[in-house]
Amino acid sequence: MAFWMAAAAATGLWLLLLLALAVATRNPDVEPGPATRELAGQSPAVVDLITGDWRLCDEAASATLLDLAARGVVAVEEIGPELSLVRLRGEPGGLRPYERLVYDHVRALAVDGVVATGALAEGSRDLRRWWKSFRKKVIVEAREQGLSRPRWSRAHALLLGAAAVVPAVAIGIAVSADDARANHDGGPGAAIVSFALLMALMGRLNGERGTAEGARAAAHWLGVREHLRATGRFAEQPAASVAIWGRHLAYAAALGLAPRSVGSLPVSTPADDNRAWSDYGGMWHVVNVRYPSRLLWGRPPGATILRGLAAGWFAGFFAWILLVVATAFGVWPDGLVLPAALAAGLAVAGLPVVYAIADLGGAATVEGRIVRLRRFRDGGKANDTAKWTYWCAIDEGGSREVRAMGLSEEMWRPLREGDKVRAAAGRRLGWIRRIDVIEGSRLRASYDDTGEHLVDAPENLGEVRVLPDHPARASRAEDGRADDCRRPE
Amino acid sequence: MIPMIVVLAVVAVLVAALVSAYNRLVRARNNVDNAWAQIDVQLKRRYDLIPNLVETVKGYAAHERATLEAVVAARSQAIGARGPEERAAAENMLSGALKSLFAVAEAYPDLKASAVFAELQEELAATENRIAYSRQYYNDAVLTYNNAIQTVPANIVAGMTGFTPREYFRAPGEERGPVQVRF
Repeated sequence: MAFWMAAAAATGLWLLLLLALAVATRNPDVEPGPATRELAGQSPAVVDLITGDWRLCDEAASATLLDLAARGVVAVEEIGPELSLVRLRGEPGGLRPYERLVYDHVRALAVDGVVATGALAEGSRDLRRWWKSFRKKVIVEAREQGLSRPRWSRAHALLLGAAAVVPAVAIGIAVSADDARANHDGGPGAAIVSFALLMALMGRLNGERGTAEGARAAAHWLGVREHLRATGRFAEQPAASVAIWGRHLAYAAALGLAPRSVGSLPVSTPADDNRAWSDYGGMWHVVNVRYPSRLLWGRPPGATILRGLAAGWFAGFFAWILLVVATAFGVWPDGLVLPAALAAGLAVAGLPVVYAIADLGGAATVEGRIVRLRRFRDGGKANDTAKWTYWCAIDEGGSREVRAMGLSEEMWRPLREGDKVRAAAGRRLGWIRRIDVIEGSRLRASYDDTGEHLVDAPENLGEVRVLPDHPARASRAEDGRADDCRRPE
Repeated sequence: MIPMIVVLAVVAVLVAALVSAYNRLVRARNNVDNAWAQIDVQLKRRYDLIPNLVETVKGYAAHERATLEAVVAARSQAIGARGPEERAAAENMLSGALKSLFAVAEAYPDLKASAVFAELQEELAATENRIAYSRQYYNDAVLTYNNAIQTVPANIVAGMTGFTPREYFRAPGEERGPVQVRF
C-alpha cells in the first residue's frame, strides 16, 4: 500500500509540473490593434494561424486559393449562382510550399485548365495527409518569420521526460511488490507502460505557441479585421468577387469574415456523399447520388431470392395462422384459408424473386466515371465484427441523378473515384456483377499530396475532441483538424 | 358547422399547395432567366473580342478579305439573333467562321507570333469555355424547370398560370444533348 501511495504522489507531482509548464508556456494574450487597412507581409494562411490562437483553421486553404486568385495565378469566374470556375493562369513561379500544394490540387482536378469550385472537394488525395502537410508547411513559415514556436522546448521535454522516470519507476516497484508470482516480473513492464503514457500525455499537450513578435503581428491583423469588418460586406461576397476586392477578400477569408467565399471553395473539405462533381464528358457538372433503401436495391440476386422466399414463407405462415383464427370465429370461410395464405406468401416473395430472376437473366452494361465509392456500416458491434455494404455510383453522362449500386468488397477495394469503368449490373436490383477499369483515375497520384514533412508540429493544447455525431463535424474530426478555431474579439 | 370547417380546411390546404407549387415554378423560371442572362454576358464578351481580333488579323493578312468578312457578318447575325434556337444557330455559324479565321492564321507566322493575337486567341478560348459552362448551366436550369411544369400536380398550376416549356441552348453538332433525369 505504501508503494502505491508513493507512486500516486510521484505521479501527482509530475502532473503538477506538467500543468505548471503548460501554464508558463501558454499563448500570449493578444489585444486587437487599432483598425487599419494596411496589409502586413504575412500570407493569409499564416494570418489564419496567428489570429486563430496558433491553431490553423479550415478556411486557411480556401483563403490561400483566394490569395492565388488575387495575385493572378488563377482566376475565379462566376457562371451562375451555383456554379463558379477556377481557371489556371499559366505556370506560376515563386509559390510558397503550401500555396504550391493548393495550386497542385487545383491543377490535378482541372479539365482544360478549369475546375468548378464545388469540385475542389473531389479527387482521390488522402485528405488527412494533405491537411497535415499543408498545416506543417504553414507552421514552418510562421516559425521562420519568428511568429510561432513549439510549445515544449528541448529543455522542457528533457525535464518532463526525466521527471516522468520517477513516477514510472514508483509504479513499477508498486506493481512488483503486489505481484503474487514468484519472480515479480510485472514491475518493469508496468514502469515502461506508465512512462509511455506520461510521455503520450506530454506530447498531447504539445503544439504551437505564439512568440512576442507573433502576438504583435496578430494584434495588427486583428486591427485589419476590424477595418475589414467595418468597411466591406465580406460575409456575402462570392469567391468570384476576388476580382474586385483582391487580396482583401483573401485576408477577410483568413480572418473568418468571408464564410460564403470560403464555403464555395472546399479545398480542405471532405467530398459530400450525395452531391458529387463529375468531369465525365469533358465538363464539370453536379451529379446527385442516392443510396436507396436496401430492401431490394443493392443486393445480390441469389441472396435476394433466398430472402424473398423466406419472407414469403413467413408471410404465408402468419397469414395462415390469422386465417385459422378467423375461421374459428366464423369470419373467414374454411375452404379459403390455404389459398389465401399461399396468395399472401406468393405476393411477398413474388417481387424480389421476379426481380432477381430478371437480373440473373441479363445484365445491363453501365459505362462511365465512378463519382462515389462508399461503404456504410450495416450491423455488427465491434470493429472486427462490423458488417459493411459497399456502394459504387457511376456517372454515365446522361443524367444528373445517379443511384449508387451495390457490389462485393473484393470488387470495391481496387476501385478509385475517377476511374472510368465498364460494369455489368442488374437494373432492377442494382447489383454489380462485374466491373472493369477502362481508364485509371487521372486524379490518382497526379501530384504529390504528401509534401515534405519538415517539422514536427503536433496539435495544440486544449484541442477539442469532437464526437462524431454530425457528419460534417465527424469528417473534420477524422481529418485531424482542430474544430474550435477561436479569434480574440 | 363541422362540415363547413372541414370544407374550409380542405380549401385552405388546396390554396396553400397551389401557392407553394406556383412559387416553386416562379423560382425555377427565374433560375432559367438568370442562367440565360449569364450566357448573354459571355456571348457579349465574345462579340467584344471579335473586332479586335479582326483588326489584328487584318494587320498581317489583309488580303484574306473573304474570311474576315465572314466573321464580321456572322458576328452581326449573332448579335441580332433572338431566342435560344435562333441564337444557337447564329453562334454555331460564328464559331465556324472563327475556326476558319484561326486556320488562316496558321499560314502567317508573323501573325501567330504576335503577342496581341496570342492573347486574343487565349481570351477567346477562355470565353468559349465559359460559354460552354454557361450553356450547360442554362440547360440544367431548363431541364429542372421543364420537369417542374410537366409533372403532376405542378403542371395543373403551370397550365392555369401560363408557364410554358423553355428551349434548350443546343451545342454545335449537339454532341452533348440536354441531360435527362432518371429516377
